[in-house]
Amino acid sequence: MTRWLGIVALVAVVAGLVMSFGVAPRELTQGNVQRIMYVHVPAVWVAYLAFFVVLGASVAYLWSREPGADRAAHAAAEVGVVFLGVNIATGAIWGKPTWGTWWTWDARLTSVAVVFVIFIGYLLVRRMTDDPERGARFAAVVGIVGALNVPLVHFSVYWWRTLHQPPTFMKPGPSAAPASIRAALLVNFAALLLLGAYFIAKRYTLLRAEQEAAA
Amino acid sequence: MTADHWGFVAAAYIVAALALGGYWRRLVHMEKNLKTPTLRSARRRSGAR
Repeated sequence: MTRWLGIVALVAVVAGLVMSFGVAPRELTQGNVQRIMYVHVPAVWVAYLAFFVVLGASVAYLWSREPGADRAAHAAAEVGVVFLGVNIATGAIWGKPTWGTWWTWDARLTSVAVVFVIFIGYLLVRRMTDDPERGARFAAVVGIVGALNVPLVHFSVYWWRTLHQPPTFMKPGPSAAPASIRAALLVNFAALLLLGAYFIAKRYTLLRAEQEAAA
Repeated sequence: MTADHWGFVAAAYIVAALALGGYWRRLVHMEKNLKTPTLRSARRRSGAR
């Protein structure tokens, strides 16, 4: 099952690349550098979703002490960190030619960096104690705090003056972007979502196998 | 006409591919390690010290 999910994700990633470079038009204002959006934006959406999985699984773990919930949270947090890392790195690369800087401490970039650091902390806090159950409990609390910061990242562009543009897609009302750009973004989102789901499923299986081997 | 900055586009996609591909390789490596029992885990299973 996981293997098939991986194969479907790979096909979807290839389709996403075709949409990004073959179907989506050259953007009028920014030129071809805008094509970075097709990896930058879906990566953060997948990271957001992964962190919401962390939130749900962490609450479930604290409620039930079910090891499966902790494994789901752990796997989703790790994958969320990878996708958020991709988002931050591609954003910096996009920022240099369009804003003239790799990084600036504006509200969106700072808030996203804070979430990134919190989830790195989430992964580290598990290793800080010899008792895995205790580490899982600490991590669940950090995971909940980190996930609750995600809306702050999204709304930061409305609540503060930022260099980062407001959302073009995840906002009320129709998007101003042409249909071909929306389609390319949607296909790439589906591709990265499938890839993220594959990574989480595989990591979950490995965590279970690690725990069984250690028992 | 706006400059296209293809170098930045390539850099962004290469960085994304390296990060996602690198994570996938890490998972494959972990899976391989779990399938190949180490001396330590074999000793643990047999109860030897």
